[in-house]
Amino acid sequence: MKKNTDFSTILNKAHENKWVALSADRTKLLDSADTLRELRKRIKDTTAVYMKVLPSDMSFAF
Amino acid sequence: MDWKEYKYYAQLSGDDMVYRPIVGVVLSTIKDSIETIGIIDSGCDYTLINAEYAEELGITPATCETAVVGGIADKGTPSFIAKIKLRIEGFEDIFEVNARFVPGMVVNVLLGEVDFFENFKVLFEKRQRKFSLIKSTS
Repeated sequence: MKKNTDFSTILNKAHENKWVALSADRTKLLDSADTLRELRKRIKDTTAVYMKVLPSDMSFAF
Repeated sequence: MDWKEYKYYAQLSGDDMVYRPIVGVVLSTIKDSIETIGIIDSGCDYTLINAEYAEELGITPATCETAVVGGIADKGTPSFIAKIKLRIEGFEDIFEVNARFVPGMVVNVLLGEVDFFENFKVLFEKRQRKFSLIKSTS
């Protein structure tokens, strides 16, 4: 399966610091929430990919 | 066994687009599993995971050993350690790792020296916006 690797095409400022659920190919935003628990309760798609969205107004040293 | 190729992920950082070596990972315990993404990070000692995943995996922090995780400027953040299974996108192998779950961690998963780099060879080709993985055999 080809996967989207450019999150700027589906995520924006409103999603920063939130949890999002993406389709398995990462081309669609399924839903978002403040906590992972809340998000998983709402998502029925068992193939969803979950992630917390980084803020874009800072750089990172991981 | 062949090298598996991945594209760098594009993410906004200020007004710039930055490209990070990110790969899909599945975290699992006997209670649940969840698919997310992890950053390949040779500067990270262990497998570090945002602590919100622990709750979803049925891990109780109070029953876990603890360890302090240090960042670039802070004095250290308490974390808890739990054994989970980890699978890297593109590979069938499942690794058991002693993951450090870090409350308030800004990223999802960091794949560090112990666990990830012990098990995979990594070829970064930043200018081509791609990297490749192969399992280490020795």
